[in-house]
Amino acid sequence: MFRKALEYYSRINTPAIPEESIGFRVAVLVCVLLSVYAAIRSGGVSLGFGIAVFVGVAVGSYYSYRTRSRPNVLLKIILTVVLLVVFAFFLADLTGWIYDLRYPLVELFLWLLVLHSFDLPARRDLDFSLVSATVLMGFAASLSLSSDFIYLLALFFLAGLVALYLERRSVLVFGSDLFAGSRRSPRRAVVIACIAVLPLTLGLFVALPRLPGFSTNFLPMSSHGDTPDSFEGMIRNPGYRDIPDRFPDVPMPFNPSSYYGFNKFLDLRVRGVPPEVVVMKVRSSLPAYWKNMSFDMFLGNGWEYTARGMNEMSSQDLPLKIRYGEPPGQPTRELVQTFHIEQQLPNTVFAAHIPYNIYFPTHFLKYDSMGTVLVPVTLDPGLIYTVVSEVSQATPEMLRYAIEVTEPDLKERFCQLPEMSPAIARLAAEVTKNETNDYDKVDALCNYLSSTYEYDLNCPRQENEENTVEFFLFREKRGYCEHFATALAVMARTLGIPSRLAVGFETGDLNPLTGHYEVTSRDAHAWAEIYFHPFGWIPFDPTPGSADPAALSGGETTWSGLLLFRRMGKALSKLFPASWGRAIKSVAGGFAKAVSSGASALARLVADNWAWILVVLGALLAAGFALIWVLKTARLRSPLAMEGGSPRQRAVESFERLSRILQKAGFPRRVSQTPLEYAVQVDGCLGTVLVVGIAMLFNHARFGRGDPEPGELGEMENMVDEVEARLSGRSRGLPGAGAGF
Amino acid sequence: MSRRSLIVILIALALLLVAAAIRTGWLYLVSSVLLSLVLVSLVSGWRSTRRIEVGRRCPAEVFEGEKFRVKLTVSNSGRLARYLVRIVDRQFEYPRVPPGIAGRLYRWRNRPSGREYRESLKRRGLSPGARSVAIETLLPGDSVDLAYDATARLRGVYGQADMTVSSGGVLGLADVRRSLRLESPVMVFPKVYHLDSFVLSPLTSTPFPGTFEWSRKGAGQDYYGVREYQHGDPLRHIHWMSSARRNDLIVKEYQQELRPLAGLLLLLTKPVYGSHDSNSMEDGLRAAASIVWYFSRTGAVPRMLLPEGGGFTLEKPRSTSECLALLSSYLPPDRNGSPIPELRPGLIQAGHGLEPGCALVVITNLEPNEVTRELRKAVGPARITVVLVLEDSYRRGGGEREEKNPGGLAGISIRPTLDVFVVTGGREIDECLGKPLSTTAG
Repeated sequence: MFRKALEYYSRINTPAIPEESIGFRVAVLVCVLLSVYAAIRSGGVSLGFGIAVFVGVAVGSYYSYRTRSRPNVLLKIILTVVLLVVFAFFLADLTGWIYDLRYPLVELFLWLLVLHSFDLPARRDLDFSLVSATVLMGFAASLSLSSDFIYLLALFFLAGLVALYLERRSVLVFGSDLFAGSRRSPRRAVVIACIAVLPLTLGLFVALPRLPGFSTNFLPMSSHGDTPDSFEGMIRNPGYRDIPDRFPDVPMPFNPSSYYGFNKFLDLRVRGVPPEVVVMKVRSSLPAYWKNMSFDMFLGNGWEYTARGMNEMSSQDLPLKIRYGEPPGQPTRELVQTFHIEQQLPNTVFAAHIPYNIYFPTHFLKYDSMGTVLVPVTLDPGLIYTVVSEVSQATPEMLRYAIEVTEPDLKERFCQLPEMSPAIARLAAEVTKNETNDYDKVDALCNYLSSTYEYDLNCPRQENEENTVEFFLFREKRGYCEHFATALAVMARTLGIPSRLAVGFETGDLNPLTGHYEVTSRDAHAWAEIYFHPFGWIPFDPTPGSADPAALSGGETTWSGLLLFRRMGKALSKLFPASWGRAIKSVAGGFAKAVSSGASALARLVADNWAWILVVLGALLAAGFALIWVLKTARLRSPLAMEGGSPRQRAVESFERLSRILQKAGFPRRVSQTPLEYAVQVDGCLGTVLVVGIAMLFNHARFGRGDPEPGELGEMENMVDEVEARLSGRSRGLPGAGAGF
Repeated sequence: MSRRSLIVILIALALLLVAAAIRTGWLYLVSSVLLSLVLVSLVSGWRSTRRIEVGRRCPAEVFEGEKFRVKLTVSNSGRLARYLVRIVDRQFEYPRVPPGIAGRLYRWRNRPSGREYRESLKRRGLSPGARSVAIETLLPGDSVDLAYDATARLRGVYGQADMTVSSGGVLGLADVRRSLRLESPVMVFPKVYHLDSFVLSPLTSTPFPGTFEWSRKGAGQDYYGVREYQHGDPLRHIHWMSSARRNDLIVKEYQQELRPLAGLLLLLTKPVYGSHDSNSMEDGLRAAASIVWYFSRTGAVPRMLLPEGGGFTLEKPRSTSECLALLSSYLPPDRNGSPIPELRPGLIQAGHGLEPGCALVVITNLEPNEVTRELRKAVGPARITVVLVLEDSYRRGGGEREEKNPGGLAGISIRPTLDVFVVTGGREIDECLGKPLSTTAG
């Protein structure tokens, strides 16, 4: 019984046609190795495991080639058992898995590739390897945060193209009765294919809509390390370690490696331009400002964080759920963001608007009512954490109906002002004199500031004791984001509207390849937050050129693939002189924007009129088919459709050819003989009916009323061929008759 | 759209779903590349199958089961090179199918369960009988001459050659096909078996002289040569000038006119048992072709009585080829539900139509009892040879049974001048026609 089962198993496992093409095997192996390398490079697996997989795949592939014609029953059984064990481990891992699901998946795929590489006898097995390698490459790519991955991907697909070509060739070589190979290298064909694939890929990439994703329970974060269980609850900025406890009398020194606003206070006297270094990469379904803290006390030439109402929380489970005293003002929407830290940052959690659920490698954190979240460790390069925030969806119409704030604590804290010139309040009142509600007042102030004052990172330094708002509004009339935001917050406070200053990073540039917002140190930003009851704190950014942070969460990212043009323009601009570079950048940016707007408009049009569009498309399709049919019919009817001149001419040529052949063979045609008489004579000598048949066809074609059918002409030509073959002794001969007649 | 392209599209869609979930542009890119590969394959495949001219040459007459050479000339009249093009010649595909989607459906529905078919499909994805050639590169304006052996499994008149030009372009992810119908008429004669001897009437089948000279001299019209006078030669044949020159009587010889020595009466009805190419009707036609071929060695061409419109029609072929052509295009009388003609009127017609003394060979797959009944009543040529193809022997396991006990044959002892041969499934036809059944004088 067992033997029979074994025999059956070995019979069904004997490869029907082992793959013999070494080239195809090598190309598949290269693809697999490239995908393994990509997994290592993206950090999907450890280097040691990756190298082991590398070696395993190479050895396995060689072994498979050597044993391609054998059933390898024992090996298959062993591989099946090992695969089941690996899968069991994978499932066991998943049971308590709290981190990114892609890592165990990459590991599973690597195991699969190694094990399967030992059993690649047939073409379909190699195809499976190719598919597995493609999927692994996809996972590795999704883990990659850098655009440099494009080179690896290009290499992989180049090897893939070669593999596909060689596979197709192998299919034809081993699957056809006759293969007319070419001595020319297939390089040209592959290059043509690449050239054709490139624009199509680009077109599809930008045209594919970025649809909203599904929610997932597995949110990326770094694994828990040696994080302390408690901390003093202070903001620690690695770039400003030795700052005093109180606001200094003289301006703080500028440190280009760290933003000076991520401290207990914000010194508005500091001047300096930060370098353009990527500090973090954020994956988020919607753009937003990545806030890390807010300041509540305005000092005249700076802001101070009073750290009032700081709470502590600890939990062994994830996520770390922050519960504020009051619920967020409705309506809100959930926004999931994952942060990949590239440069060292302070121990504050960056998040959009108000963070609620935090996936951070710690069991302990502190937070306050302004949404500032402190963690025990500074954010070091390589750290990954995820935050789920509630982002306000209040519209301007809603905010116009906001109720006046009556809470004395709120008023006292967020309408606090130092002694300063009444000109600021007068200006605020003047700007908002026509507005009847708080929202319109703040909006008018925001518009006034952004349209009246100039943005300048190199504006001169103010006096040490000089009020920054007066300096900005009345003396210098230019400044940067801190000046604009401070002016707005202060002017709002003069009108009795609660406000505060928020700092963090702007959204950054969306990399359409990685899908991450790349935030540089130059994106460090300050903006104002205004309180509207019951909607909560709403961000306003009066800095010229900045986006409206409140409107960002409703922003359009469906066609973000078009940003690729902007990035390409940016990359190209670096290759040319600055003036050209700017032009290229602006053209590419403009093009991307125009196409994006067009695509959005088209999408809206389709969404609104899909039924009509379907009808029109159907009609066009039907018309197209009808046109093709008409053209085809007309072509068939046309006398020109037949090749080689008119049918009569072809008949004459065939008969003349026959006459020449017969004359050469010793059967000359007398002038007096009609074709049929001549044919009868020849057939009488040869003992066939072929020549008579030809003559009859010729007579019909030449002298008949209508044109001969194409079939008749073909038959005639074939019969002439046959006569020629027989006369030259090349006939197949009838069985036992030898060659000839 | 091939299975491979569907798989690639499915993978691309799956990656798109993952990309939408985790919002990574790389997966959009990988999906875009995969979809582009399919699109490029489709477009390049479509292009590769256009502006490809195919010329086909093959012999006008071939024998069933015999290998013959088919020549293809494939040329590229387009402006771009064509890569990895495959041309499938379906003229002798078995089973014969129409081209296009209907053909695919037909092939799928009617796929035989034979091992050969399975093996053939596994190996090349083609049905038996179809031949395929592939070309790696065809530059613009170039043409390639290809030749391959083909075999026609079944006799018949094959007017057109259905060809399929397919390509998946350089990458082969798609399989774009274009059907061509080329005029390439081929007459496939039934398979001929060598018969060392075949019993006929002594009048008409006197021992084989082993030379054709005998059959070429006689009382014909055409001058053959001269020889010395022999007793009995007509005086009007004396060649006086030669006689004077040699001083002896010399007579002129004339070529003997080839006259049919026998007639073949075919009454082969639509078979019930057996396969497409191995059944009582086809084997009957092979037997007839073998007998015709046997006659051709004597220089004779038999007359043929073929069923038509409820009766028989007498055909007078002028050559062996013509004779075989009639067999190639033979259609069973009951193919459209028409009544099967009776044997007896055929025998009577043979009696009238054939020359006196001419032997008749009846080849039929009718029930032996019915044949017996008909022969009993028949008034026809003096001597009849009957080749009975036993329909029942083509049933599964029927050959052995019929071998041991040919049903109903005991009754065929109605005439002293009757030779009966029995053709059964599973036995070679030359073996069947080599030895007649022993007949009893009635």
